[in-house]
Amino acid sequence: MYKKYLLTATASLCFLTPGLVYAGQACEQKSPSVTMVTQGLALAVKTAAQLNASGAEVVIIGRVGQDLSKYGQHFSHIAFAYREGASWTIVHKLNECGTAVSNVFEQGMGQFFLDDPFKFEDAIAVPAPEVQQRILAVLKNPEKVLTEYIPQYSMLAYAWGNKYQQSNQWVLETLALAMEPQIKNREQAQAWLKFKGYEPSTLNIGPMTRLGARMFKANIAFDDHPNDKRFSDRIETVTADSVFDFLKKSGLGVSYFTVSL
Amino acid sequence: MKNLTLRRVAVALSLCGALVANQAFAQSTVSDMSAISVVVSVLAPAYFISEGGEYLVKGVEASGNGVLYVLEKVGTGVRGSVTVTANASGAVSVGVGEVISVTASSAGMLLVSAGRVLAIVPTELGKSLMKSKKIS
Repeated sequence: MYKKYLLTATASLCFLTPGLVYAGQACEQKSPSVTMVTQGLALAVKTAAQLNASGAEVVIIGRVGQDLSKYGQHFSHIAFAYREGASWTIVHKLNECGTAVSNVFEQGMGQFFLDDPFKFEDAIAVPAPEVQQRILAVLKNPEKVLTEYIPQYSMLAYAWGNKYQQSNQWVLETLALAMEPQIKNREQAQAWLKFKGYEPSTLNIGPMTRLGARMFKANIAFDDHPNDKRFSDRIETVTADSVFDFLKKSGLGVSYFTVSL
Repeated sequence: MKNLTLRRVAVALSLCGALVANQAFAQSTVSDMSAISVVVSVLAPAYFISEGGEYLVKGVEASGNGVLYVLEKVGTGVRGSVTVTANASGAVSVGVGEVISVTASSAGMLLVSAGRVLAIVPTELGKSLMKSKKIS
């Protein structure tokens, strides 16, 4: 009889544990530590100073939210940033904690680094001046800035799909919209990106990880990925690193630097 | 038979481990960033907060702008109050009789309890760093 209890207990532990593990990560509600806040704000001040010195008006900025080295990635999240006087406004898409919904926010540079990052480091891609002006025209136009946005969110949304959209994908598709005024929707933005040679990252994510994520995380889904890729563990998604690579390869970006504490 | 059961448990645990061990990937959520409240007003002598130190919480009241804390600087008896924006996460939860410390950062003075930041009294620079608006 004890064997039955032992196996039941093991199974219960398995199904309870993920909730505990995940609950303590993305949806933490406690106040942040002094160290994290002081370092995050210091990085924000240092980044803003270097941006001001760069002469740029609009950039794409990436941060290291967590350690993604096992996926061959360094930066986890990108955003637009534009200058307003001596300060900078970040425009990016954020997942509403613990849900499959996301929204676009305008935030200060300090907020950008108060997300308990893995490393106090950021990367800046400075687009060509004409590209900066095109992006700015979209970001400041309330009728344009949300053209590519959909609320449905999956952290690992298929790069060429339209069922979900993750944060980096919104930036990339909005960049396409800025560059080609004829673009009216996500499909057209993705077609433009394909034509211009954008290549998403392919992450190797096996069936057990997919199952665990799907069961216990509202903000991860895989049903938008084509079966042949999904069932061979190849998850193609828009990573921060792949966007930086695209900016370099396409010539849309002209200079790059990193800032760290 | 006992070995067979243990083996089954081991297999179950290893499958369980595979399910939970890999946090797949993450970009960003809103939750963490809303965890710091902003002090919207300080009613006190000018030096009250700016010189930092330790403060005893003498009163906590709801106000139209958020929560008003009456503070007394430890060792001086000087009192003042700060009004802190209400926080969606409920992170601000110090009570009467508790001691908080105030420490400097590059964006303003931080109100700290047990190593955690409850709120910031932002400088002008800090205000621009801490803004946040949903546009969708």
